[in-house]
Amino acid sequence: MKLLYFGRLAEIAGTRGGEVALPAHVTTVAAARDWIGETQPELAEALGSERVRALADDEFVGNDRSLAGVAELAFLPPVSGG
Amino acid sequence: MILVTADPIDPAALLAGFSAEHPQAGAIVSFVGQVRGGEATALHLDHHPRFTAKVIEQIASDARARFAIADCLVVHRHGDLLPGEPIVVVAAASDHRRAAFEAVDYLLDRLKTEAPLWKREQRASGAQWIEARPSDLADRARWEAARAD
Repeated sequence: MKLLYFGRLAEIAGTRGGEVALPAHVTTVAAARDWIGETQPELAEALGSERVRALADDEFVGNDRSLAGVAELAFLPPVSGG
Repeated sequence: MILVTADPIDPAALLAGFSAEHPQAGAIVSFVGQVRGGEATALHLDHHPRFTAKVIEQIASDARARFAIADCLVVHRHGDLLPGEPIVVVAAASDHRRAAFEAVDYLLDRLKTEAPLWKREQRASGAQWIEARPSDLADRARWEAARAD
């Protein structure tokens, strides 16, 4: 699956993301947030925040959303356009 | 036209093109947002290569449905900008001015609070990521209230 980070998250992660092989137990958005936080502790606080929204294949999804069939999971911090 | 681009934008040229596309319109209202001067010495604007334009398309589509406008234009920069550079151009064409004024106001309120764009201001003291302000959210909420009336 492709993981993507934007804005402040990309800066904290030091990457905009890329292809990752999720462990078998990571089957939901919530589990992905936890797993990323464990493997990249610098992201744990941000990904633990509800203000950072999850986008699965261009659709905003809640933490209970299954990752089955999801090709791209993006994490979006609060926006500031215009 | 909806466009999210790393290239410098030319508001006058965009507006001339938009006006030429709508010779029947009685009103064209436009807004140009510039990178504010002051403490910030530069601005970086991050975007999602596909989803940002998709969200802006939806916001524009909502504006076309909600107001009596013939069309609207949104061109937004991403990448690195300097104070004084245009960051966003929004325009609407309509038969009568009120609808175009309201559509532009609405588009901007939603762009500021919903478009997946992330600003990082560079200051002498360091860099800082910006979030929509409470006043931006309050501006956005006005349209919900108006709809509920």
